Amino acid sequence: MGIGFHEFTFLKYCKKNKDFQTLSTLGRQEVYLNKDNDYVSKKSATFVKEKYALIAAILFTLESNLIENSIFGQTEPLFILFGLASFYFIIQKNQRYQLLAFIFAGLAFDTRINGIVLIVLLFFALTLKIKNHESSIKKLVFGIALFLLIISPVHIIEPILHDKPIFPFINTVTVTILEEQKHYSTYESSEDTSSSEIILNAIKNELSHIIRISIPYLIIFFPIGIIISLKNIDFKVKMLFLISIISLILAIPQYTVSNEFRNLFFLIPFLCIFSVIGIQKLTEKTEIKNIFLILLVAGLILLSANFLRERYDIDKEYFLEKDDFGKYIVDNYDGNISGNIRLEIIRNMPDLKLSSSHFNDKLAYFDPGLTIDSIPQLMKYSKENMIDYLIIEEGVVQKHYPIFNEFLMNKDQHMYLEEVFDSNKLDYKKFNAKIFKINWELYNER
Amino acid sequence: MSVNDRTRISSLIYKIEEKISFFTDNPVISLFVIGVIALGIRVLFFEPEIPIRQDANAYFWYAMDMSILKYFPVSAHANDGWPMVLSGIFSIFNFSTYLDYTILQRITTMIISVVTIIPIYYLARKFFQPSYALVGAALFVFEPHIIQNSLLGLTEPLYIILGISAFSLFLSENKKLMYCSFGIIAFSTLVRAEGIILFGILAILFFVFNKRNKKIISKFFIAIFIFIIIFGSMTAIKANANNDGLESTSALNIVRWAANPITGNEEIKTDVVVNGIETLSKRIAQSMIPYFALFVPFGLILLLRDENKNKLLIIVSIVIYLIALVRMLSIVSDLRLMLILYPLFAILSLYTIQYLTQKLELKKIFLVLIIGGCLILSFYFLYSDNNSEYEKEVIVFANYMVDNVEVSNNFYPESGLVYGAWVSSNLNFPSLSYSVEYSGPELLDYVKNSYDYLEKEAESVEEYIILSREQGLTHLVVDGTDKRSSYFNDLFYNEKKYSYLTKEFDSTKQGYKQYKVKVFKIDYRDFDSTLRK
Repeated sequence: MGIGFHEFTFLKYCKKNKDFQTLSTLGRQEVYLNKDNDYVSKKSATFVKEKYALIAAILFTLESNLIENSIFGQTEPLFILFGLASFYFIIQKNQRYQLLAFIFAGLAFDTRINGIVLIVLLFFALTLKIKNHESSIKKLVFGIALFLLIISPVHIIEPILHDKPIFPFINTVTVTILEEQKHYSTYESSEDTSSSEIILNAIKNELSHIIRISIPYLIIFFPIGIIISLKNIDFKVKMLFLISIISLILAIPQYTVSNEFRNLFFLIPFLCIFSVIGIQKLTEKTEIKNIFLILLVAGLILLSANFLRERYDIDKEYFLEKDDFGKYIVDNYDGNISGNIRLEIIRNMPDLKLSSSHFNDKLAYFDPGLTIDSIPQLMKYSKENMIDYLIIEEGVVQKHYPIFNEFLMNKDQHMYLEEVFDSNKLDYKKFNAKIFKINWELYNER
Repeated sequence: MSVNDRTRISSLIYKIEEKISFFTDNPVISLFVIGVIALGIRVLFFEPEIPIRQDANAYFWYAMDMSILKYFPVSAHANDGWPMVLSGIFSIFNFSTYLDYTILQRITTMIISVVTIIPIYYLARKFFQPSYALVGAALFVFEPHIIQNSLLGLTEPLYIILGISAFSLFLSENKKLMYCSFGIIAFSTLVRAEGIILFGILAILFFVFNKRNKKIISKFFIAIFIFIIIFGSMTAIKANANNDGLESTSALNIVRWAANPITGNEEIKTDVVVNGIETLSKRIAQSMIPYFALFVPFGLILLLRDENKNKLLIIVSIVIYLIALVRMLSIVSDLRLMLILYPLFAILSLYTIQYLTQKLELKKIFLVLIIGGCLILSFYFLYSDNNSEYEKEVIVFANYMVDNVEVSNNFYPESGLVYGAWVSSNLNFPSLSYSVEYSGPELLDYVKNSYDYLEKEAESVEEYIILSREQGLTHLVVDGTDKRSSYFNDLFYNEKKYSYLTKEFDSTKQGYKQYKVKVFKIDYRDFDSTLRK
């Protein structure tokens, strides 16, 4: 059901360890990380009994959003692995493990910016856990130093060497909130929006995505788990709530630039744990619970498989033609290009280099990174980057270039965009696009 | 977090639990709230500008005729119960457009579907406490397949409400009401012929439930009598109107209809059964999405362990109906045929939900959370399955067809909107069906003078044109979907190969985003010369 990084890690873990162990085994009463290495059982990271911890692992493994994400080769599986490792060490009673928590938090931060959540959690955890104030500060300082050491190559040294601001994400978020830039995924309308609206919009999107990541099945169980946990809050449960809340708060700036529900994927393992807390409570006083759990897992498999089946109903022929058209452009055109089928062009460019554009000796593809919704905006961007050609796909929803649809309907009004090629000439069955050359002389004469 | 904080949170949770008790103690209010939410969802996904399709159109015209004529007109379709009810509603209103009446038809099915929570609540009460019965009603009425079906103006909502009301009355302790259930089953048989299966189920259960009663035979005759009086009188009216004896009464012919293909040679029989079982398995899996999968399988086990005698109703109904579905689904693979089982799935789910929550102190909060979760899953399902933009483009195209095409191939299901587009733009209402002379595009299905499908009989575009030429084929409509023959898809993607066809319409050029369709006019002179070559 997907052989991505997430499943790979899962399977590898299963093979390596005598006990059935996955990333989600945080919920087990007896946490056996590796008996052979004397990393023996600790009655510490406990939320539910062992049997239910296994259900948590199943909930996590079958979670269709994560399965889907894992086959794209993106950062989330590694981030979740490091993040959970850090969280695991945070909730250990033995304070020696705190340093490991900082190390994994650093690695998680290197993988995705959301890793900042863990350092904030560590700060809270140490404050709550360590009674001795002086020792607490010492540990925190040492841990933060360790964290900075790990993240410095990517977030500090490398930007300095390339003469860029350190922590470039902070700059991107600031520019967006100050209304200086519109991003593809957060674009909503051509009307100007204020900073507060951008933030409110980000919060609204985030809240809707909490529900989105709970589909197809966690939504039934995790609210019950939250209610049960609220009735009996100990340190570990407190950490569980804290990491969820901190993740949500820190995701708000991220949502100003990227309205993608994968921003919240780190929450999924915690929702799985809340879910099993609920399932354990619901079944603890009942008979034939094993049969229930088996049938529950069967139901989860059906829901997850159906969810993935629906999302993977894609037209292979169309995508192959699209890719072929990208290759055709790369083989037959010189100069600066912008417009649709970005991925297919970049993918087919040999000796690809990256600066403000994706380029090689012959061709450069420019991606505005923001939504183009007017002809003046399109031409301004094209002029600034000396664009020669625009690629426009027909009959699709233009998320990145809403202006293209209007242009296609009123081509006659924009004679400076000359059609130089139609994909129909390549006898494609499903893909349809045109290449337009910008006649700058004509444009300037207008 | 201090001890005080914890206590505060706990007391808040218990307060919420108490507040929810108000609703479980007042099932009428709860049912009203559930009904309002359910109706709200239906309204949200309701697209009034999209006309009804084939089956719903047939019911529409019969109801329209009856509401004008005030008697039973000749019936060309199997199930008359729904248009009979609809005609009564049509006669109350006086609209001037087709669309207004179809909206009324669809709003009626939406309301019937929502009102079904009442018999479901009463049926669930035969098994569970009121709080769980309310959950059962919610599970049914929020189910996305049920919601989608209720928006179409078809027979199922009425069939389900009658079937479940009959079941509910059958389990009543008041024996007179038990007899009423046979009367209601007779009505359900008029709505859909499969109602006869429900009659069979109740007949079996009648003997099971009354086996110690010495007067069982005479009582059974009373039940049969009630059924026959209602069903028979309507059958007689229909036979009289159609003047064909009992030929058009589908429920009476259902056994013959079901048996015919099976009683042929052994090979066909096996094929039919295998095909039916395969389709049934798929449809059961489909009906478990998005939330029954979590509750129904375990509910079945709990049902078998239950000592309540009423469980026999669920068991017998499911077993007999599933057997019948093997046959029905081997012919028509539509999930609609299974919708009558959804209330029973809701009851099975309640077994699991009761098992999980009955011993918990915060039971009511958990029940609300479960309903909330199911509601969100349902909403997501409906939202992701909603292709209203596509449908709106199909409507625009249907209007193009009405204005520009005389005779073309049928391209079902999209072509189903062509008739509605023609009626909307050409007729004033109220109108009688036989006073309407259809002058819209003719959509060819069969080879002339036979029931062989043209698209199946032909193996190429040329063969299709030859087979349809005599019926006046002027245009070919191709949309490249997997519902079409490979040769039509070849035309869609390789139009240059067909020199005798002139492209008159391309949706991509017209700015359509979702529906990709092309219309070609046939130049028969060119076609003939191509053939000669």
